[in-house]
Amino acid sequence: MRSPTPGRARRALHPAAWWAWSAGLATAAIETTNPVLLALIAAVVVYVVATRRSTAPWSRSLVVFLRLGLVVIAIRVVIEVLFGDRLPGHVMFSLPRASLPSWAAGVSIGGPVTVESVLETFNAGLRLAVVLLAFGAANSLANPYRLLRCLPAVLYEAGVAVTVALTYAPELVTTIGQVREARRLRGRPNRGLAGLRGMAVPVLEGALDRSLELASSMDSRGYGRRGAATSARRRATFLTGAGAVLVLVGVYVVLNASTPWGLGAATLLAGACSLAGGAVLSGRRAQRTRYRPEPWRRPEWLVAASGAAVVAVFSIAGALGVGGLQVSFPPLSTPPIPILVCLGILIGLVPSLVTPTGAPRPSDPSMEAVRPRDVAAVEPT
Amino acid sequence: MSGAVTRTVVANAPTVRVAVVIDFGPSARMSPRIVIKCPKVPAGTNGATVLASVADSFHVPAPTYAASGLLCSIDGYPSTGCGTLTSAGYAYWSYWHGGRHWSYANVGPAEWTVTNDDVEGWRFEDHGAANPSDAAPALPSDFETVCADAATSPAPTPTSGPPGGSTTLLIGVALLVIVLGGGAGIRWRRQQRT
Repeated sequence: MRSPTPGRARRALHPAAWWAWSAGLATAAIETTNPVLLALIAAVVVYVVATRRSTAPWSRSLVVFLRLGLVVIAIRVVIEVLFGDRLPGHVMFSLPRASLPSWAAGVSIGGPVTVESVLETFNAGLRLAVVLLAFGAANSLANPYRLLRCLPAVLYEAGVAVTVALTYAPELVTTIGQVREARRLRGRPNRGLAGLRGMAVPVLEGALDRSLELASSMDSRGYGRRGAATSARRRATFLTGAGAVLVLVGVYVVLNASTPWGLGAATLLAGACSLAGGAVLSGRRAQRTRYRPEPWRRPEWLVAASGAAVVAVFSIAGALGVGGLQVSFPPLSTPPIPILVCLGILIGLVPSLVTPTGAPRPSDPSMEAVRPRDVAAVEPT
Repeated sequence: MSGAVTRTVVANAPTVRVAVVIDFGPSARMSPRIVIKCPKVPAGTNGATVLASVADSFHVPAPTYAASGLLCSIDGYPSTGCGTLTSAGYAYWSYWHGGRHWSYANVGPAEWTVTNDDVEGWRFEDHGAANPSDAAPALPSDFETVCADAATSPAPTPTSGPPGGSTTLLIGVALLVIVLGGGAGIRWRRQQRT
């Protein structure tokens, strides 16, 4: 089964590489309101997942998030039609208008619905849907249990919270499959609105139960165990907490166009340094050996770099003022298409060319390609 | 016969006189800086539609709005950004109602229905506070004075809006999306079966 070339052996890619790639495409989607570019990003995401997913139960995440995205678009359009601002444009149809008292000024119910307002709302919904799709792609491609293993030692303290946060979405998708199968076998409706009504509670409850179960089983094996608090540990915890807050603020400031970019970058850098300091401090303390370490080789670098390249293309295009990144209706015309940005989005297809083909079943250890070098690395020297 | 009937109906449809004052502000370097128009519009028209009809009558780009209903640009100015917050304040179009004095609007143009002799004021604030302390349009606020000036005030030069995209390119990208999406769908199905 294994291919003779070592770089393309059957092995699952490092989960962090997939998360970096999908975070890049999600960031690109946030940067634009052009529906054509958004559709292209969505197509790239879907194509890579279809060609590179494993047979694991969570590989169906993409479909679940795709449906969620469609629901988001539908809800936004319905709300716009009912309560939207009545801006001028090409009227499609008119709803009966409710007249409200003067203290409710600013709220509008009914009235003429224009093509422009519906398109604009569809666009805003599409952007959120593409971000959700990228998140679903990461959940489809990355093995959540292996991602959990790669966490820095400082996060072991928050064991249960981290486990639930990282595995809830994949467990949700797995549970949907199981509950649907069980309902099908019992002859109950498992599709449409009737199916949704019977499935919602068991699915949500089941997924949380499975995540908590995983967390408690890991807890009993020493993950997230609390010992006596030393001053080094307190320092590490403080550095991590402060770093996380700084990174959060920094990301917001960088992404928000109205705040100075340099300030955000500086905050982000300070936060990253603080996080790294915390990780190093606590890593020195936590002496853990690793069984089957996750290799980070050339395919991982290429996948992460392709995500970063797409973000870079959008940032450079935004800084140069390339037309067509931000599109608004009116005017009602074909949106301008920046051809170079389109080509930049296609860099996101790189993972479907360079990654090892057909990731094996993660639950089947015999399929995991462990090369002698990796085994040697965990042996005591 | 039917034409005559329609004309009668149009003639009898209640219309209102409104004045629209658009002040691009001192730093816009637009010529002219202030544009005045006194159109007759059907009763029940909202402020946004009045503004759009004024832009249409001058053959300049239609006003653009953000998804939230905030007005972004008039006559293509400013070309980028929408209510951008800088360290100096907000750069945005403020909305005013005339009369004895200018008063800062409490609701947006889409929610405001104009009545006879209304004065609709718009002024671009470079670094405004986004509250009634911002500068009002630099003109008297009452209808008669504004519309007395309207006949002699210069009109903006007609310009075209931002260029639209080429249809060929759109079809090309659409085909690419369909090929990628279709390919993904086929592979997904095939994997599902095995």
